[in-house]
Amino acid sequence: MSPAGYEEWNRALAQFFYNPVSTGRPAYLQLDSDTLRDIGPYAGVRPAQAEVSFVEAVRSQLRTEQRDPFVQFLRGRRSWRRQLEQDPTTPPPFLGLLGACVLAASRMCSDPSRGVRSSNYYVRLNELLGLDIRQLPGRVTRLWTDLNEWLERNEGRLGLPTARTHPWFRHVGYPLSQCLLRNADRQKLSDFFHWEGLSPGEDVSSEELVPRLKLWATRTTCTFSEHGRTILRSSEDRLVHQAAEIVAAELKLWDGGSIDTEGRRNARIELRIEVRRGGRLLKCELYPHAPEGFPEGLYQAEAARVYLRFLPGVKWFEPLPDELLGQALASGLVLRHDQYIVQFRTAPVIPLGEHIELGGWVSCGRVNMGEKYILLCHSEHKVQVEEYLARHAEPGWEQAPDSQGLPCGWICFRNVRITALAEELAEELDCLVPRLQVGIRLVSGLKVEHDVWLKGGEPEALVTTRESRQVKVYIDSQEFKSLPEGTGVLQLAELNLAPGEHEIVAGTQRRNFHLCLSGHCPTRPFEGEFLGHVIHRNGARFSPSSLGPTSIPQPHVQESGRLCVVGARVFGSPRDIQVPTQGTLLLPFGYKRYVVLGKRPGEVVEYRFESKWPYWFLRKSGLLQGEFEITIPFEPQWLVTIGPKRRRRLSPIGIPEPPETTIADENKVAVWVRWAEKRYHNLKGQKEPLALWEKYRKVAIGLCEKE
Amino acid sequence: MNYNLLLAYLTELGSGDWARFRQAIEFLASDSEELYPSALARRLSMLGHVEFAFYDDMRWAVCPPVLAWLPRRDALITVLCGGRSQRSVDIMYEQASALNIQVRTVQQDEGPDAIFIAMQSRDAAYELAALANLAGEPNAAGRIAQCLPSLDGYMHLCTEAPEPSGYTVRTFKTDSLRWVEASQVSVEGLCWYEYYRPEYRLKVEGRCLKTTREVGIYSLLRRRHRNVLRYEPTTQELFVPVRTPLPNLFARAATLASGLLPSFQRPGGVPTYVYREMPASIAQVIATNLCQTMEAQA
Repeated sequence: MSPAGYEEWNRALAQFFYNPVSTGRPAYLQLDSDTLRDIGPYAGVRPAQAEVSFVEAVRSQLRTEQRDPFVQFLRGRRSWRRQLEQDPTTPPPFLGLLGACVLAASRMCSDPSRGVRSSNYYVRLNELLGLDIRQLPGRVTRLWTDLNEWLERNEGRLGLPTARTHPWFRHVGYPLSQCLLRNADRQKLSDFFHWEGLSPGEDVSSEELVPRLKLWATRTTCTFSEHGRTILRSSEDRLVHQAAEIVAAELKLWDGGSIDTEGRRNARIELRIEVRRGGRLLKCELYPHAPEGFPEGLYQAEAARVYLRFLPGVKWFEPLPDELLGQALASGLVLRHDQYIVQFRTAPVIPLGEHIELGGWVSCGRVNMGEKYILLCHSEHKVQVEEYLARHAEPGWEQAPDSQGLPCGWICFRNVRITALAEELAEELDCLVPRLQVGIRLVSGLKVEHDVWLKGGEPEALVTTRESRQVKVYIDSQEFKSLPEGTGVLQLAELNLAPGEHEIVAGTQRRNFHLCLSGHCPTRPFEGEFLGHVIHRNGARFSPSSLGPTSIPQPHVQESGRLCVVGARVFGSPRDIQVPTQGTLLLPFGYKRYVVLGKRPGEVVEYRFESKWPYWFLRKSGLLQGEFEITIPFEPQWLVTIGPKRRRRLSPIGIPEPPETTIADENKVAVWVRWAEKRYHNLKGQKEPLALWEKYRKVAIGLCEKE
Repeated sequence: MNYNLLLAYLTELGSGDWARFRQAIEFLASDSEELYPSALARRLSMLGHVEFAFYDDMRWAVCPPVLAWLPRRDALITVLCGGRSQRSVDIMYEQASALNIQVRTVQQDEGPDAIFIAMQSRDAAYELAALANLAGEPNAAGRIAQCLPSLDGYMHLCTEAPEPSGYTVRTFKTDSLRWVEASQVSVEGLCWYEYYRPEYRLKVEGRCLKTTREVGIYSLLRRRHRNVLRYEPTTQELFVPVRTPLPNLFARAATLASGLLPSFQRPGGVPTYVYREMPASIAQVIATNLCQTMEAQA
């Protein structure tokens, strides 16, 4: 291989660090001795000679004889900016120089015990480039901004910008931001995020992260390389702070998954517990996450193969078979499918929080202050956990009385709410120390929309302040409560607040929310989707379109042969469904004849009571008491009974409807008219029924006259 | 649990996923209360307040408010079904009072209050519905019963599906009407797999059909010629064993006959739901479509 020139190296760096594989992901120009070995072949150089070759190539571009040795790079920058107009992917010509700055920083970081100061950095840089400078010119530092702009201009297709400076290291901050945490360590950040109980996209300040990163570096759960741990354990606060800034930026871009050094995508398996039979049974299940891109299929565990299928509507797979639970809790569980891994990491104490998507309680990395949890705990740690809860949890927690459903050797605590921060703790209890989330959070309740709750479903306010002394809480300027240690839970339902806007103030923290009365909330019901049963009519047969309700965009739009049942309503054409015209009617015994009239001419049924026994005998024997049922093929309105001695009585059935003139049955019109034109004396004095019956008579007489 | 507040909250949301529903009832339930979210969902559905798409992706949607007329012949009574906010109920009370219409609220142990409106005439019912911005559904129970599909219609939709493996399995015993945990999965019968959400398979004639609990049970009862429904014509009550619940639409038709959730009784020691004020015609349609021969209650 011939020695590579600067242009080859510049192109190789662009190819290695900024390529379509990095689309949408943070891209770091992390150049150190190890990565140079990997990049060498891209520049046509053997790995062993890569570092020397690279340094020589960069040196060749320096103009040490001139006042500004970097002038060549700055000239190249001007022509590159013009080229960008035609091809925005053209790599910056100064990547090599920036790479050399990072290489110098990486040498400094490799031994943080010697201190990280700007002076140390320039010693390394001068050694590397054969220069004698005490500070990089501002124009060179600004090349980092150009690099970020270039990545932004390509809309993340070549990676997302990550170079940032730091108040303490104005010039050195940029190269440090690229090499302080190596690729292998950055890929392990998801372990830290989970350990700390952080959520994807969460905005956490680097100040908050510094003590947490330092603590994590001392834990066995820390998966960082020795280099990464050394950085975090360093006595140089500035270095840890810079690392924390990188971590905070990575958290904002984290999607909840991770990729290991071999490029395999990792997702977590969570434990879910459902409390059944009033807490007497705890149903435990393992649910693998199914992030975007994870396929359904056979996943291989150590001693089993499991077919993972998606759950509908959520980014989870179906639960794993029960027999894997014991193994998972004892030693963890890893399931593999090509480049995809789902795994459960066990721990002696597992907090489970209420879960919206899956329902029930689902394992999480760490508890939040004031929120309710279930704790699954290995019985070996029972005493430790009890002691901790006695000191730091709100009274009311208890060990679940019966461990039915729990794997052998595990116990469960319920109603756990941590309300005080702990100091030093055994590592096993890390997950029980809440993260200090300064602010007022409103949780639970009947939330209608952002910051709006239904009156009667007021939320709880979780207050956390930085002050570790007494803090007074004011609601709508009225003193409500005093929090002895600046932290606590407020039950807003206790206050019986009026509907409207409210404000909570605790120390320097402030939070507004709105309570609305039912029917006065900003949402507009019934504008969303309809669910219902779609039924198709085919002659006399009704066939369902599905086993249960389905989405019906427009149930009220009539379609021949289609009926939609939505709640109590049946939508459909009157041709397909009517108000039932066929029903049963209970008639009292004791009459010889019965005539039932409907509202339309022709709607009439005559019924004659027949028995082989004489009528007087039946009456005397008491057999004419009670009612009997007959079927009527229309909606009955009136009942005429004819008793002994042809005595006629007319009674309304319920509240009769007014008569209609449409003929229902031509053959029976004459019969209907015969009964409907009569006057019945028993209606005398009953104003409303009599008035209505007169209408019937009028229709009947009208029909009579027509004939 | 405050079921009225739950219904008001669901009405505000309009529709949502199962998690949202569950979250709401977990909030409203007292600590000592046992939660059976799917049973509560079923009750809300029976009353015609909310529809739940259990079979698909576990969504729910509140039904539009409606005055559903009961199928009674002795009086004109409607029951308020569908979504309702406190405001809409207040408006309805005001309008009813102005029209001199009587409104009666019946508290229910396991569901929202049933609000009945007794009318003097049909015209008054239409007027109230218009003023309170409600729809009217004459004889809702009768109309739903009129279009009830047959058991075969439902079975036609059950497709063959593999049996979930690795979960606790129970089989349904038609003699005792109980689910019994099975160590070995039977070749024929109805199986229930305890899984993220319950899954049912009806295994008949060498086929394994994915079904719902209710359809599966009545299909099996038909195969075994077992009749479980009883009807008492004098009291107009339909008796349905708790362990053989009616399919969703059938249960709604039965509930809307009275506008009230069925009461719980133990005739002969058998836990039974009793649907009241049930016209014989509706009871007969329910039984016929479920391939049951209705017997008189002893």
